[in-house]
Amino acid sequence: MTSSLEKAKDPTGLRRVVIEPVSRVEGHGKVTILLDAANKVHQVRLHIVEFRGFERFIQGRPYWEVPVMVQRLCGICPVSHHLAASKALDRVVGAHTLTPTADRVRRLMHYGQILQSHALHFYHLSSPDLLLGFESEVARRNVVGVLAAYPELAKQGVMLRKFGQEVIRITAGKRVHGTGSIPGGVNKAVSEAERDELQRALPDVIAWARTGVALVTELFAKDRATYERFGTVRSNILSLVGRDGKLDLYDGVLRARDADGKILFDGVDVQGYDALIKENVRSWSYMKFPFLTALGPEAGWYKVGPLARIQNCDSLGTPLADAARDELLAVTPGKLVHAPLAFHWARMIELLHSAEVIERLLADPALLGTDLVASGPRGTMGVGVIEAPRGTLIHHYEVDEQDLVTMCNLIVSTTHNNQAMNEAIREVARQYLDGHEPTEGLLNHIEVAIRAFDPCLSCATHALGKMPLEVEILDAEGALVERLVREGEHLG
Amino acid sequence: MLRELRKQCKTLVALGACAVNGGLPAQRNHLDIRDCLQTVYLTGLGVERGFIPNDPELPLPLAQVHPLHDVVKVDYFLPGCPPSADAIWQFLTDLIAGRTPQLGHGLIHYD
Repeated sequence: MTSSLEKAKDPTGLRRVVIEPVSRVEGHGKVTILLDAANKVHQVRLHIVEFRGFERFIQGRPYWEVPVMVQRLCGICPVSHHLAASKALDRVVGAHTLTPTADRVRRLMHYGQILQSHALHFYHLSSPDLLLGFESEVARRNVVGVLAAYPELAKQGVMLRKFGQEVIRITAGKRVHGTGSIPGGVNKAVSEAERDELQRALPDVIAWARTGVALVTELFAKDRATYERFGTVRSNILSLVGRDGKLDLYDGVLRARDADGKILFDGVDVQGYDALIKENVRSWSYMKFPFLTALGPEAGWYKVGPLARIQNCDSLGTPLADAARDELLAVTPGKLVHAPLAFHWARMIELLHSAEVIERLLADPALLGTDLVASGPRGTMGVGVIEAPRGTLIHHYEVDEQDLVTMCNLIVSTTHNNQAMNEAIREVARQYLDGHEPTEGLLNHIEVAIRAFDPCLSCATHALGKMPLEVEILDAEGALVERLVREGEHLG
Repeated sequence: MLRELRKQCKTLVALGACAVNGGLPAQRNHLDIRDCLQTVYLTGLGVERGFIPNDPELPLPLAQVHPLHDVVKVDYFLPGCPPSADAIWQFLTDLIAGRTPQLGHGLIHYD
């Protein structure tokens, strides 16, 4: 299933087009495209160009530092790393079952984060393409342009994100890089006043989320042919599902399906993830390429994230979001939807689902308890898996008798989608670039496909992250014709 | 890039922990970069047929992580991971008004 455009048969004499930085995504990456004299596409690659090495320098640190250290992988979804690390280390402190209050507080923190991250991605990063047009004027194709053209909608996006950040502040102590979750539980109770404050805001939040879902549904319906076809590549899918088969973004078991929707494995305990997934390295990217061990690197790559999740589970378990999901599934009845642009739709459905779950958690008396920490017989290793906004996030640690970390393995959401993003942009190149002079507008199509996956390239390289994207155009002799560099800081 | 920025601006602010002192990524400074790369791409758990990415398209990582003021003159340092929105607001408000930014109690923190 890996496509022919990964490697040109003979790169000599081909013209190199580079998109650097990839804009309106988190982190630092670039795309290179090799074209011949007739603009036929021979090679397309998404390169992740940063390296940080968190997995190495975390070794030797005391385990209780880890949940606050590793979240600094990222400024957008720090809660995911904070919680995945805590879940892994719960096992080290023997807390195989958390207190009901700790479970609810962590869940509230997590769903608050999903809500804010999805809002940030859709309204701030992707809506400019979808609302203003892939080839609209580049100076206005940004959140300020959306604010001018759709002021009410842009405001709702900002307010949705603000609500999610408030949920995080109340549960974690701080909007970004909080400290609320610790191995064995949480260190902060939620007060009645804090709960009431969130409850008061909730009706608006749910209304805005419904507007968002309706908007994407309408966008999809209006130009269905494009939305269904744009960069679409079939693949396996992977995610956590709850033990009851319903969507659960905080905890569950691993399930994978093939491209037709047939179950490949189900109900797998996350502690055994390393038997199911292996990673390959390519010379041209600092981001590794995971695959399902049983299928091998060629056929075993897969998608994770909102579109994978809402199709992998049996149902979402909240009424408004389930109704919205039915509409998405009706696009290709009985078959999996693989269209990258459907990620936006799935993401907004999850945003609505998160608001509904938050409503449920706020109504749960266990949320306000004060029994926050559990413990048990000391362990030496733990795996913590969570569905982060961008997909399945795996943290794995080993700890010695001195309480120091001796091994750390992280497979972050965006890394799982590495091959899928590469295949999607190759498909877009075939569909839109082949035979045409690459203009800024055409090249933005490549970025639109990358953005659909909402990649966080900082997380993916465990690297210091700001993600620019660069496009270089070389003539057939290899001389630089044009270089388009997008905003984004590039240190070095 | 940073030197270019310095040349083109009147006031340069190191914003956030990584800019101010290298932050968490500077934790790798006591390690050999080759050792870091090997752990991630060669000996790491679950890596099959690993090797260190070496395509000319990839920039080589620096041996050390540097704070901004190692490389250029910095006019202001705004600490925090991240600095709070209020601190950034107060800082910019003062700067635009032509005052020397004064962040009161509670606005400067290092976490």
